Amino acid sequence: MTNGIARQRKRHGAGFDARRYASCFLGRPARLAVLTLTFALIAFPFYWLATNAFKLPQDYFSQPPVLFPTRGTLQNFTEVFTKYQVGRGLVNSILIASMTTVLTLISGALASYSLTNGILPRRTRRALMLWFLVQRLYPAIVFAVPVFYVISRLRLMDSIWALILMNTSFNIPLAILLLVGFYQDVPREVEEQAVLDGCNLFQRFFYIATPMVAPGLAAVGILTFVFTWNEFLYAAILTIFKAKPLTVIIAGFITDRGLIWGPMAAMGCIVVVPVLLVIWGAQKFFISGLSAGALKE
Amino acid sequence: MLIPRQIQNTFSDRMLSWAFLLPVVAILTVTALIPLLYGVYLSFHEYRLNIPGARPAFIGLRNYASLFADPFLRQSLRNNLLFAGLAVPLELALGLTLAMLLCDAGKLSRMLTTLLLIPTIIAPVAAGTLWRMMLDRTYGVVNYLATLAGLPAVAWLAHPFLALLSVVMVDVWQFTPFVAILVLSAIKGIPDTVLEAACMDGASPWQVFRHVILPMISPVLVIVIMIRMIDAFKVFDTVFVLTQGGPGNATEMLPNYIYRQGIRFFNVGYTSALAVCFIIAMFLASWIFLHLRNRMLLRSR
Amino acid sequence: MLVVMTALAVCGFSKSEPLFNGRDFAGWRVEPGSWAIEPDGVMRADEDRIIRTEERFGRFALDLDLKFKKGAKAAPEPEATPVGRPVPPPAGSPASAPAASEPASPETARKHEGKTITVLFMSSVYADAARETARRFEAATGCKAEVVDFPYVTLHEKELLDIATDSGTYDVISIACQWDGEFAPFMADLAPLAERDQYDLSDFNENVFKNAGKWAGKTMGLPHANTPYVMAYRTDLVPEFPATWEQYLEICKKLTDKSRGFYGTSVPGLKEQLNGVWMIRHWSMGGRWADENWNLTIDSPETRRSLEHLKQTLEYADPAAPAWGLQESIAAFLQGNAAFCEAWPTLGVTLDGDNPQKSKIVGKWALHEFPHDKTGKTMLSAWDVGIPRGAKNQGAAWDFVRMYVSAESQLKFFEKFAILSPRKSFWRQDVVKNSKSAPMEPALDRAVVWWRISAGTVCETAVRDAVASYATGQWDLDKAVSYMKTEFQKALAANPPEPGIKNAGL
Repeated sequence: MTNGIARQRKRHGAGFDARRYASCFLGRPARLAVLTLTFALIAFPFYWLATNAFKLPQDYFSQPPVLFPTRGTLQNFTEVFTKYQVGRGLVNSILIASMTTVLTLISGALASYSLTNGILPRRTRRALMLWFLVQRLYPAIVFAVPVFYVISRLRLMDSIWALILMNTSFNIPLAILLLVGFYQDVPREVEEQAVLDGCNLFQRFFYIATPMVAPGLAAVGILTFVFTWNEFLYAAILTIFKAKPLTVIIAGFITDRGLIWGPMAAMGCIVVVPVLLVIWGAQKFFISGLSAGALKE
Repeated sequence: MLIPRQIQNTFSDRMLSWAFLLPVVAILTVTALIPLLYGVYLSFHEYRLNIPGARPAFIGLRNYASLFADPFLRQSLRNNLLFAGLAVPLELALGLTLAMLLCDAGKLSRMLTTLLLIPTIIAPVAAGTLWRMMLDRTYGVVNYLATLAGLPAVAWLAHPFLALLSVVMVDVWQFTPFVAILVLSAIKGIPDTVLEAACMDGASPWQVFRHVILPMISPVLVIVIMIRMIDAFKVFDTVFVLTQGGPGNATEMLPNYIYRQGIRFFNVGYTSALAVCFIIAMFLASWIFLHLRNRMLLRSR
Repeated sequence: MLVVMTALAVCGFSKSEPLFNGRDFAGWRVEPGSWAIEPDGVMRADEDRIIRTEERFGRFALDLDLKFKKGAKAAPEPEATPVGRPVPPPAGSPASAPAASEPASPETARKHEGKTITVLFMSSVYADAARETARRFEAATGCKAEVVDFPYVTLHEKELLDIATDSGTYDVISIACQWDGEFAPFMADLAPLAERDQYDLSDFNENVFKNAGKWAGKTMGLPHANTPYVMAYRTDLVPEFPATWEQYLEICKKLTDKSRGFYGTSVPGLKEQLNGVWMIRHWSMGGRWADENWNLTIDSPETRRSLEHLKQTLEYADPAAPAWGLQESIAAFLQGNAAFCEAWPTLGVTLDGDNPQKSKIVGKWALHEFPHDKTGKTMLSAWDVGIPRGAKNQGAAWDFVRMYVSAESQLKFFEKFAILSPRKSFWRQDVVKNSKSAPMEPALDRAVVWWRISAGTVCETAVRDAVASYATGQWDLDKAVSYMKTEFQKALAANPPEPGIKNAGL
């Protein structure tokens, strides 16, 4: 026994927390300092964004900047909804993100189940897994022009279905990689029992396995929703005006109109807040989804 | 590793297995496979969309040859490598530190972990907009706070090197939490018993970190580096909104270059060649990383 | 303006009927004191006045005999107005009370009822003007016009991607004149339409129309807005405007006082603006990109001199200028922090310069052409509006185009959005002549555009990159010049100009 352990035992009594011990690997005061700095660095920009959204024009163009505004207005938000068609953008974003999530989950779950429990030739299985792995590698921009061509031939330009389709295709590889892991966690005995009860593949999928992987589905669903909500590049290429989601609208502010900060900050809030709400309720799922992606590679 | 279980081999099950795969294969074929094949096909052709009645004209490997003679491509590649070389190590170091500091189960740690989620989930476009406002030389709050601390006010986005640093800074701000969360999950995966044993042996916290935790999570670290490296070459949204590639061409990156050639100039053949090379490079890079990680896994067993 | 008119009218298709009996105003509605009848049976007005027939006609052909007094500059415009709307007073005359509305006659009302067209304009003022027009258009024809807009940075690719695939999304698009050559093959020819409807195209400034709308013998668009690149300056600080670029630098040097945060000039340094700032220097110093037959002359002493001058200018501008767009550089000028402003003034200075809420230099500024130096040439920014080949509603589109470029619309746009019209009659209106925008008219005849051929886009981007990289110190002079030369060569080789097209610009 060393001093360190003895000190810990004295402080915490019987329950020694090894993790707590390890987490002070830089020393206790350094830990506190770094964590405080981190908190400030993360929280301050959002504080800034939120206050700017409510500031009056004199305040956000003032020099020096007003750190603690004493007066506010809702004018930026109203202007954003009336003049810049953010209402429509919001609806588009919600529709695109949710439909993509639904589509991704359904097709991804089906495919994953088939890969884990279905009867397929070994070569096909490996080929498919390789394909999904490679799909994640290339940046979306490389096929913007061929995709543009395909979409406009299908007469889907400026419709949310084009974006739903493309976003589903972006998210399917990750979804399958994760869901395969989750389906594999379902105990083999459960499946065998279902077979003995006379279930075919579909019944096993629908009634037995999928309810058991529901947390995994939630994780994948949230990841898909967030990534799609934030997607910008293809949204910019494939939309004209009817199907513009929020990310394209907020980017449009920077280019020609100079810096109209009030509405920009209001837009920033609108883009960020819904996702924050979604995450708040389901952070465990989100984290598990993110880490499963890295750990189960 | 996929260990298939083939429990029951009936005709209906076989049919259903194929049927289940259908939606995914259909979607990916239309949206990914066909553009990919079309892109490869086009990369051997000269095809410009803005010439009326244009038809792809076969020119063999000439597009690929022009890649090497393109000074702007070299510049973009240089910028991108510089960006990746600065951002990824920073994110790794800071993320690892954060993860270690938060690996206990205390209340403070739990709260901060939740907070870490926030920069990760906001749209890169929104993050870019936010930082553009904050880094403005005259009205930005960063310069204001700097002057309060006695430092000079800097033109962040107007000086070539500073602009690149700003892009790095925004990327680090947004993705260090992401790295931290991943590493944290890995650390949490280490069994308690192992940690306790290490502490029992009289190790200081630093030694526990250096000799126990670090080796055990190194496979995950390799994966994280791979993910961030690949993402560093995909950065488009942030640069587009923060600097639009300027000033001059200090922050031009590869995706931006491909966008410009394909969408601005409609030089479809050349863009496809670029795209094919890009994919091959990414493929090679991830193959190397995965190989490295597998070796590490084997070693730790 | 003296206009003398005799009217004979032919109405209907089978019989012709005189509208004017030569003696009195029977059958006409006229304001007392405005029109008079000469002894030789001629109707006469001394200034712009409306005269209207009592009767309303459906489809008609009008035969008009006109007699002009020496010095008269414009012809009366017969206007067929949809029934039920008050006829607006002609431009320049004091607003007269609108005529009482009449019950709608079934034939003239609502020509394109129920249809919808999609029109595309650049964001901010041109799109706003389009929305304003769309309101009147819908009221007049029953056709809804949906206005789409994109910022300049993405406008080119959005437009071209669409019309090159003939997808028919847009019925009317506004094209920047430097893209004319690239877009022309995909646009409908408007000349036959103008001839069919006897639409007068002579009111457009020839130089502008030549550079915006006409291409290789085809009229692909009608010019709807033009701005010559001029600069704004502080009349209280600069008593005599510099005639050469060297003198300009001298004045900037003298006036710059960095301790006070005051700079000689305000420059928009963003890549897409900086190239324009360089081009006007290059051209007014006598430089050219290529000669008439497309042999490159870009590697010249003028090129080097203008590049160096640009870099020196930036020393007398705010250090944040390389990241500034138009709005920031104009704001700096309006806040009183610069003596010159090289940003396009119509996008802020003319609109807000004398507005005490937005400007600290009310009454202390004016516009002037850039230093004349050798040639006095400046850049023309012009937009023409046309109809894509694949448009679905060409009839309604043509009506929209004509409404957008009509004299009265253009005057309205000036009053509300400070958009300048390419119409010659426009520049003669008092409200324009007496405005601060007046110095721009002579520049219109001397303004040029860079290459309007397809290769032009690539070349302009090469210029953008070279100029911005050199000005911010990342490339040296030789590298910048040789880069431009190589890229021009590559672009011309990949996208050669059509045979017979000469380099009429620079």
